[in-house]
Amino acid sequence: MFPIGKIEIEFPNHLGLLDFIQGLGEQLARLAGFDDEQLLDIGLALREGAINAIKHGNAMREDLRVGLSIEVTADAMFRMAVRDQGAGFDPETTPDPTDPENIWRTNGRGLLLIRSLVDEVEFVRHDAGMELVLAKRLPQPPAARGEVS
Amino acid sequence: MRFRVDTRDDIQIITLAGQVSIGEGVADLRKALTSASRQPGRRVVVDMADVPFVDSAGLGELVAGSRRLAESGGSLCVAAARAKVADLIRLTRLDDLIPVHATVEEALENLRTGHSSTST
Repeated sequence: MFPIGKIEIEFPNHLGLLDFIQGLGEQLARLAGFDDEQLLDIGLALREGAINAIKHGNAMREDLRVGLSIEVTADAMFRMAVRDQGAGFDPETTPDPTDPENIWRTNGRGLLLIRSLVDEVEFVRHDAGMELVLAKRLPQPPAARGEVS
Repeated sequence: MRFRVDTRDDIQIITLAGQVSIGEGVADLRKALTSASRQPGRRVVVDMADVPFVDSAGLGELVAGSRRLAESGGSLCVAAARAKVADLIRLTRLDDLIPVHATVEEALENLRTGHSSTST
């Protein structure tokens, strides 16, 4: 069982890292006890969060970076936070992609996917950038306390 | 991602293998669907049995391909999608635009008989 702890990494703002980011999330989720179907949910949600940060938050700028933290919390949640350094965006004004007038749009479905794949979604606005926090309830409570190294 | 194109009864079957995601996967899907839409009235079945997942960009590319085909008098449907992929198509209500069939044979049969209902 993945102990309670936190991993923090910073990435270059590059879409080519998405497979790595998704894989990292899935590997840690496996250690936390999630099954294969839940791993895919977690990995996909994290991938969409990273796409959002790289494309929309950081506007594809190569001089900016993406922060990622993953932790198992004491309240039995697998928590992933993706933070950009850009101007951010207002999730409240994102059009509903299932609305008939938006259904033919070729983008704008990322947040809908994220919300369907994890149990909790929160946006935290910082002075520089936006943090998207995703959390999925653990299949069983964390076993022990201890930092992940 | 890899794709293969076959034609049966004047219906094009595009078989995808690999993740349909932003970058190379989406570019390959766009290439396949753009080529199909050059022929007016082309009907296309996208076989997704070997697609482990599709992201929002991949879903967007299915929409774009469906629109291009519809504009040229054709149509697009999806067949044999794994449970997670089919779930995401339904969640985003894209099954209103793109029929989803359990198998390629079922998709072909629906196209031959002129039906367009979603079955999964």
